[in-house]
Amino acid sequence: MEKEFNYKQSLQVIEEMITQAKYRPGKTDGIITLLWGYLVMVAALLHWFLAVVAGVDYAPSAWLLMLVGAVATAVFSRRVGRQKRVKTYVDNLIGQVWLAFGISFAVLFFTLQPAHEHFLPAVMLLYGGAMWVHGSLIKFRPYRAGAVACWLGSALAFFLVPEQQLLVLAGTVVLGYIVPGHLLYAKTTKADV
Amino acid sequence: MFDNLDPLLHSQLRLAIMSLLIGVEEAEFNFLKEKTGATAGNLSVQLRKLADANYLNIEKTYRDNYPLTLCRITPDGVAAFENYVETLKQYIGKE
Repeated sequence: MEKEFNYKQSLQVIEEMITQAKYRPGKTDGIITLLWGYLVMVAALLHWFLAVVAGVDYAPSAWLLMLVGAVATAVFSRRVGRQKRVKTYVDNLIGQVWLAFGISFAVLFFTLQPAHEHFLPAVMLLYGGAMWVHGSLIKFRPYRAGAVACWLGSALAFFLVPEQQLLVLAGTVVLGYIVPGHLLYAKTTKADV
Repeated sequence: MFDNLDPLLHSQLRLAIMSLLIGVEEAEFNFLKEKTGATAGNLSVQLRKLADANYLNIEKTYRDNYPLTLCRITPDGVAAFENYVETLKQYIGKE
């Protein structure tokens, strides 16, 4: 390894190594998107069913499902983080984007509050923003298309009553999270073979 | 011919290490070992040389009771790497 080498070989080493260390999304990236996509879809539909069809007072308790997502994400991220032997700037930025989403969501949750008629459209706006940046960071177009679906869903939901907004939210996460999540999972699974 | 090139970086393994670290926040020893194809002993020696020059920072820690070595490039290392690449560009320009 200490032998003399010329500048062309130097360039080759630099290029090869930079390519080797470049961020590539793994199977796990799609799994977290899918987890939240399915959980939000089920919770939104359950909330709608309990409120509109069953007509019960405790309909918003459907969102307790989000606790499952939070615990699963924490456990899963910790496990994945332990397996990763390299930490890229993209990994860090993705974490920061979702942290910013979480903080923004918490601010909305405690100020506007979930019962507010504009709460769900505002959350969909945040979903869209986070997905757009995530998609741009990993250079994955379906995530950005999903972000556009979230923004369109948000714009539509601003004109609807909360019960209808729940159905729009369920549809939005299918287009904005579940479909892109499956596409990323398929792509990374194929790449890992 | 290559008098102006930083001799510390103008070595295949050390350059490979720096090229891997330039684009990441931190990397484990085993990641560097796998990507460079170097032996653990040789890699340790070259990492130590780079760390002595303050080109990178080596953190020895534990994960699940196993020793873990994390490497990060320093601002001096980034500057040295950029200088090295600039010098290479001059050589290419002269060709």
